[in-house]
Amino acid sequence: MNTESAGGLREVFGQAARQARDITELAALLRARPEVEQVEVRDYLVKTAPPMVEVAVWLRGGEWPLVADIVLQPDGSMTLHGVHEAG
Amino acid sequence: MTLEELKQLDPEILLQELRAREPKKSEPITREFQACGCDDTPTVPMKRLREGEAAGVPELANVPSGDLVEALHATQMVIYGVDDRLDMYEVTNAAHRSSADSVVMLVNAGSITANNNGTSTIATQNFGTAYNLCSTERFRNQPIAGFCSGFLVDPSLVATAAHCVDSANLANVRFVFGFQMRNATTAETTVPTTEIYRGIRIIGRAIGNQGTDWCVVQLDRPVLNLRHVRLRRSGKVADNAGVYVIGHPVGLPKKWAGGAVVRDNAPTRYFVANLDTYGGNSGSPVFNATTHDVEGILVRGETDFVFNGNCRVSNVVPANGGRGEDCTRVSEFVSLVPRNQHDFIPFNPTKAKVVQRNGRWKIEVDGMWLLDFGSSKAEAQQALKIIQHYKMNTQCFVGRPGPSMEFYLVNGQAPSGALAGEDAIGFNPANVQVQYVSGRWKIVDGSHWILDFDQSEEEARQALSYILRYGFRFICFVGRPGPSMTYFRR
Repeated sequence: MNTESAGGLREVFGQAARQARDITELAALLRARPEVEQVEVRDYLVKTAPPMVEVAVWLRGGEWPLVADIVLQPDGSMTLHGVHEAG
Repeated sequence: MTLEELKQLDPEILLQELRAREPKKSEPITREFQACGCDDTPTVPMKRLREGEAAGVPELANVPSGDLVEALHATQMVIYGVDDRLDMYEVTNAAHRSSADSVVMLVNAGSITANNNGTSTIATQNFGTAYNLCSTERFRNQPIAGFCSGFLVDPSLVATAAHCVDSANLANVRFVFGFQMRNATTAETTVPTTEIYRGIRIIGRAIGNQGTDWCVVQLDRPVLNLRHVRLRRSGKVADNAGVYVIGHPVGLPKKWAGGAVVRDNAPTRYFVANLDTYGGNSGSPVFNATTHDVEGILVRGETDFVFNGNCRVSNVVPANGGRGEDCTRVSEFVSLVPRNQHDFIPFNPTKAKVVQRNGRWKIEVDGMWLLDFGSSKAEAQQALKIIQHYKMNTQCFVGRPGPSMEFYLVNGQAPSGALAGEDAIGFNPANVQVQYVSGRWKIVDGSHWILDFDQSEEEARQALSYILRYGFRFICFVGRPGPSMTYFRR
């Protein structure tokens, strides 16, 4: 993993999560980033309490996506829990 | 459209419409939880529409949400088929109750208060209030507390999901056994402090690669009063095999849920089952309904709740519908877990004696030799003195023939005390670990190695399990170098 891009992406994810009204908007915000090539919202919930949605992001030139765990809050807001690699 | 007409529709259509009605944004309802023990910032989950899920069903636009929910319930499609969850006091199957022993709830440290009387109280919320549940929801009057589930795989090891525990939050996680309903109305929210454990080390963890998601944590002390599970050691669960899960859905008191099967067994690192699980079930063991071995760890799956008007109800899908619940296969981490197939030989220490057979000095009990000292009568006599001093009555091995570890027990416990002049080397059980050092598996205490297992990681992990389980603090020898007897004591 490119640590520098992962760290930068963490900030981007956190900001997008704070700004977006829902997960669709969050994905759109990420797609608008010049360094982002592709965004995919996973079709499942991670079963923590509260649950999380995984958002996979392929950076331009990157081989593997980075995955952000987005915690779904009750008021419709979202918070970033963490970022990890996906094989 | 009448209720009877609604019942004739495809349940997926009803569900699609209900999901589309879920509010995009709502006011905060009550305090919230943060996932994974990061902090105690209060939050409550609300399931969100995801990309591609937003469209409603035009034909149902004017149908009241309550009618949609009633139609779904009427076709007995609550969760996956019927809701199979039971509180543990309702479970009568002895094997299932035994399986439940191992299950633990993961809680933020800040949610636990010591009462200074040997008990601790877990901070809880009312489930129905916290989640704004409709009055029809089961368990709505019960308390909720934790953020994940886990299970004992060895007295000192808990397995859970990787997204529940990492090195950043481990210090803030507490592992609480015994959070369950005593009866229909009373939850055990105050538990003996001895039932609460900390994690001191992550033994292994993986997330992401082809859907894998697991973590094995070493606890601060062994759990000696509860059963640990048996894991599948080879092969994989059969297609359509019956499975059940035990855990803490939404942080509720421990629940059993069965009536499920493996419905997609193709993925390499996980399988998919129609288990009735919720957020908070992450890390729950998924048991084979026939063997009661653990087949997987529950990690992710279908949406839990949908809105019915202004309150939430459980998501409802057909038993063969929805996306299913993903369970990481135990084969992903089983190599880290000792088999615990004990090689213990009981003997009567009062009948132990030093004898010479074919020119070799030995310790024998009733004609069976315990130890061989070659030409050293002095070492044989010293060993007999040690056995009788500690009243050792069980000889134990790891890795016979050619055991990599040998130790002795006294009525199932570690020998304790000391013997003048014994060759003993102390170590710190909190520091001992299995490590691969210069091409060999060893048990080390900091920079010192205690035992060498060559290429056998399995034997090393089994040996460490015994060291932790019995609380050994000293490794002792007779006749170094090339000791003729090795034993451990507190």
